[in-house]
Amino acid sequence: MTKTWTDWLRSRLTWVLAGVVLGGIVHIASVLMVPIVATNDPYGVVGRFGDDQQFNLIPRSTARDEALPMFDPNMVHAVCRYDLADRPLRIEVSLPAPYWSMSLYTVGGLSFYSINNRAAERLSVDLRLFTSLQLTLFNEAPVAESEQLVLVESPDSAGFVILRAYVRDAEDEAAVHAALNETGCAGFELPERVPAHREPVEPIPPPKPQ
Amino acid sequence: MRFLLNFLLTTSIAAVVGLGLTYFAVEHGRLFGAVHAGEWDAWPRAGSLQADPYTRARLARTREIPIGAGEGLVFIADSDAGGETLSGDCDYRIVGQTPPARLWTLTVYDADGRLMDTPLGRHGFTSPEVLRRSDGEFEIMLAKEARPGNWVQAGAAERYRLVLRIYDTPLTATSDIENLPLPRVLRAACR
Repeated sequence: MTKTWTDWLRSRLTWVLAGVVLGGIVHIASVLMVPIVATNDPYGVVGRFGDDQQFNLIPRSTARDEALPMFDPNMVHAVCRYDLADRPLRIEVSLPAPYWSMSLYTVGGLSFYSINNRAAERLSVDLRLFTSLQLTLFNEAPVAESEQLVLVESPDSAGFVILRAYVRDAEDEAAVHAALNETGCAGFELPERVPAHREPVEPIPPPKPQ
Repeated sequence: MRFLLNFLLTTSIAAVVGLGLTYFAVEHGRLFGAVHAGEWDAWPRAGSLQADPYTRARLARTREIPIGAGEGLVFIADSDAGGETLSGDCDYRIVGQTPPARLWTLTVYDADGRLMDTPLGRHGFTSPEVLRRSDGEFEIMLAKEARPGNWVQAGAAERYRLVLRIYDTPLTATSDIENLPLPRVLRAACR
């Protein structure tokens, strides 16, 4: 009797099936692991374009040199890495471009907020980015111009902002570059908290001994 | 001894099946999270916190930072309307219209996602530049030799990848993306 390897496998069917089921678990676990073990997370990648808390130009994509993969070569891009640990962030944008948009990203490169120059319905955008706690504190003492501001809560304390502006020619590009130098992406102090006036509370007297 | 052999069999099957599936899903990841509309594929949730684990794994692998889901949509075509792979030996006509958007750009890449290298240094067309017919539709020629009208010079690439980006669109990830008016990619002459 000749035993082929299929017969050999068949005699161990339970073990083979267990392997396939375990394979499914390995698959799910490894897919979830890929973003975690990736050597360069997006936050690290965009850090090489310049200092944090300011907009840095990302070199425009050409056929031989793409600073970041799949970035639209028709756009000028700039990135600002932020950290909200100490203070909330203020982003002031006004670009001389027929179209521009801005997206806020988590450290892992997922966008949690976007705005473009038409949705803003005005020439400039003054966006304030907060952690959950900072936003609560800010809303407790709203500043006079609050209605003009775009208030956004960041899911993490760190992340980055990408600005993209459509440029038709070199002249447009130079104008956008000049405007990007004026574009703010820096921390600001929360308004001083005015302690609410409260009537002094009488201390509760200790219960009298019976 | 026998137990050890069986155990080795189980674990090696698990490793091959599990990691093999992951490799194909991430490396050739066209299976999960994608929406198909004719020859175009889109990952409408890629640029959002709702991105699925397969999309997240693919983005981590390609080191791509997708445009925000609220900024627009990106459509990718690796094959023509007939289902044939976009070959560097052929010319192509991109005909029709795009979904409603304030701005769109069409860019030609090679199959690895690198910008096509051409002597003229142009990679595609944008909506303000394109010449339209009287019915509002456009026709873009991707060809080696100069053509009248909207001509994109074809560079040296074994295979092409077309990327259509539409910015500031009322469409969202939950829109009926399968039935959008997207341009057709038609094969012209081949060498």
